[in-house]
Amino acid sequence: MSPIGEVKVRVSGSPARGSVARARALLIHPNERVERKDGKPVDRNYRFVNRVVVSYAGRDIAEFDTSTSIGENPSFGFAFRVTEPGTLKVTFFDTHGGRFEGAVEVKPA
Amino acid sequence: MQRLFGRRPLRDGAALIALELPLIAEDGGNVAMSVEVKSPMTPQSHVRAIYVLSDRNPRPLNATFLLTPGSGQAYVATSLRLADTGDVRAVAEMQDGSLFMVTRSVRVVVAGCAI
Repeated sequence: MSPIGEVKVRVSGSPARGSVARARALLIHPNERVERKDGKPVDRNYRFVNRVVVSYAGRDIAEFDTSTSIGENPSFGFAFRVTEPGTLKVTFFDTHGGRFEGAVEVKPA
Repeated sequence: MQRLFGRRPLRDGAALIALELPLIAEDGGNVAMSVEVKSPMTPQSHVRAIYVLSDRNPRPLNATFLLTPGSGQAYVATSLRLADTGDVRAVAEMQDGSLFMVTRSVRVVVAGCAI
């Protein structure tokens, strides 16, 4: 198994300037689920991804607030408007202060 | 739902929102889901947020996706954990604050454990 923190960002196709492209970001992460005992949640600091920020060409374009209801190795698909050459960056934050970044260069045709 | 949206009216979003989910989820721990909302995504008219809720999860609010006009398209996809057979809802919040909702029922064969 890959170590925690590996991020893969992929843009589908080779988008033209002005078009809308779709991308996926995947993080290798256990995204722990809350344990329950006798129907009650066990209280401890679970490690899961609670915030994802997508930025493109230096601007934040989307932000996801997530919970333990997202599966292990969380992956997110999203769209963005291709306006200029730039970096598409996806940053994952987890409840243990972890910060994982993945980026891909977008070069519109 | 009340806690999240108060008394704001929830309109039927069947014409606007496409919520893709399997009818039967073999493994509740990993259910592929995607939401697409029809919107021009201009500064004047765009989807501000997409909420994904599942009725039977101990914590029903699964994820909130905050979008901007830079998103170009109101589309998000991820994999959910679902505790049990039940409804999954997607709520789109427009930039003017209006809310639209669609609901899909999913049969979960193996639960995604206590989520």
